[in-house]
Amino acid sequence: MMDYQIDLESVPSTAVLRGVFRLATPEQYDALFAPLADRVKKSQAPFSVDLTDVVLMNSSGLRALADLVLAARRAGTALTFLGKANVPWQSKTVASLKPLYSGLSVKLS
Amino acid sequence: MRFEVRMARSREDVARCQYAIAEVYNRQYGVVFSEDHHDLEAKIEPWPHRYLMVLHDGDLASTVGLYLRNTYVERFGQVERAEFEHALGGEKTIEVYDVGRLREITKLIVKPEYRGQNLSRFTIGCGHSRYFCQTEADAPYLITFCGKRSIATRIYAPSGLHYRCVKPFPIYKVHELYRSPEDPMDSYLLVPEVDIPPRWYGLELPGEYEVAELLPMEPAS
Amino acid sequence: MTTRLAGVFEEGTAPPLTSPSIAMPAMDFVVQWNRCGITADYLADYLAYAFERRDVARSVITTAANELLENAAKFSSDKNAPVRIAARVRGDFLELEVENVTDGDHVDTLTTVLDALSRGEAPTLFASRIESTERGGLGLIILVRDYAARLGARIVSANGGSLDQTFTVTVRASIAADELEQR
Repeated sequence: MMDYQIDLESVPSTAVLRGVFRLATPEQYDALFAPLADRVKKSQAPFSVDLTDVVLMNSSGLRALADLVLAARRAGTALTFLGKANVPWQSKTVASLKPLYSGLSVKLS
Repeated sequence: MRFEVRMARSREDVARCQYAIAEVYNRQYGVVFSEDHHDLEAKIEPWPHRYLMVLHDGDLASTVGLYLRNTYVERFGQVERAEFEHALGGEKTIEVYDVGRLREITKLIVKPEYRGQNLSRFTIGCGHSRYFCQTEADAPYLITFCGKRSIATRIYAPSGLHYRCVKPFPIYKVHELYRSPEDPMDSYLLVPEVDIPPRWYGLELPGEYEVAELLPMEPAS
Repeated sequence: MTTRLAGVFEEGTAPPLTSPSIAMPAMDFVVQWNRCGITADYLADYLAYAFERRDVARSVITTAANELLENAAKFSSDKNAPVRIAARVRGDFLELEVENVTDGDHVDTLTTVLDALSRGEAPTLFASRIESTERGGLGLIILVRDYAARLGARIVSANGGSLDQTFTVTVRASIAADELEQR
C-alpha cells in the first residue's frame, strides 16, 4: 500500500518522512510540504529532513525536495538531508541536489 | 425526460460513478484520484464516501458525491470553528447544529451527452435530499461545499438552494485550471431545514422524477 | 500510418530471459493513482529474481517503471485506450517499455527531451528544470542521468493528417544490470 507520513514533532528541527511518496503532481506535494517550506522560510535556524525511512519517492517528490532546497537558499537557512547510501534514489538523486545550495548537506549512512 | 435517482449501493455502482467523475475531472482539470485513508493532509481529491446516481434507462447520466467526514472544506479551506458559527447566524441555530458535524457535497458531474437539460441543477438538488446527504446519520449534519462563485450562482441558486458563504477558499495549485480571479472559490455552508427547500430535502430516494417537475421555474441553461 | 523514432530506440539482440507484460486502460490510473506504483512494484518484485542484489535492483526497477507509467497515465489522450508495460531481461540489460496513446503536443515535448538526452544533455537539462518554474518532465531526465538509462521512443501516427491526430507512443528504457544492482 502507498502510505506516507511526515512527522514534525518527534525530533527537534527535523521533519521525519516515512513510507512511499508517489503523489501525482508537484502541486500535490506543495500542500504536503507546506509546513516544511514555511519552516525554512520563517526561521534561519538549521533544519533537517530525515529520509532514512522513505522507501521510494517519485520524480514529482524529488522536484518538491529540490524546491525546498531553493526555498532554503533564498532564506539562507542551512538544510540537511539525512538518508541511506544503499538506497539508489537517495544516493543518486537526493545527493545530486548538493550543488544547488552551499548551505545544503546530504548525510548518507 | 424521466430519471431514476438512487444512491450507489453496490461495488459496481460505485465504480461507475468513480469512472464517470474521473473522466470529466481528468479531462477538464488534469486531476487524478486516490483512496481516502486516515488523515493524510495532502491527499488531494480523495474519493467521496457516497455517490448519488441519476440514471436514464439504466445509463448513468450524472452523479454527485458526498464526504461523510474529513471534508475538503475542513481540511483545505482553513475555516475556523468561529467562522462556521458566524455563518450559522443566530444562537438558536448554533444550539441545534454542531459545526463539528459536517458533510460535504462534492464532485458533481453531468456526462457530456446529457448536458444542456438542467441536470446539474437537478442533481445538486437531489443530492440535498435527506435520504442521501443525511444517510446513516443519527442527527442532522450541516452540509458544506466549496466551489467557484459561478457554481453557487448558476447551479445552487436557480435550483432553490440557499447557501451561506463562509470565507474565500485558499489558493492551491491543483485548482489553477478551475478557478480564476473573476470566478474565485469559496467555502459555503447550508443549514438543512433552513436553506434546503422541502421539495429537495424531503425528496424520497430511490425514486423516479422529471427534471421539470422539480425545477419548474427554470428555463434550460 | 507513419513511424518515426526519437532518442536511442535500440533493442538488444540476446534472447530475453523473461518478458512479462501487462496492459490496462489509462483510466484505471486516473481513478486510482496508486495503481501506477502498485504495477511498478509488481513488475520490480517479479523481475528482481533475475538479479543478484535483489533489494537494490527492485528499488531501481520500480523507480523506472513508475516514472514511465506515471507519464503514460498523465499523457494518455484517450483514457480508455490501453497502457501497456512490458519488460525484458536481455543479456546484461533490462528493457522496460511503456506504450500509450497520446496527442501531438506531448509527442513534440517527448521528442525534444529524448533527443536532447541522447546527446548527453541530461545534467544540464536537470539543472535547468530544477531552476525553472515549469515543473514537470524530471522523471525521464533522472532515469538517464542517475541510472544511465538509454531512452528512446517509437511514435506511430494512426490517423494521419486529421486535426486531432493521435499517436501510439512506445517509450523504451534500457538499463544495464550493473546500474540496476548499483555495482
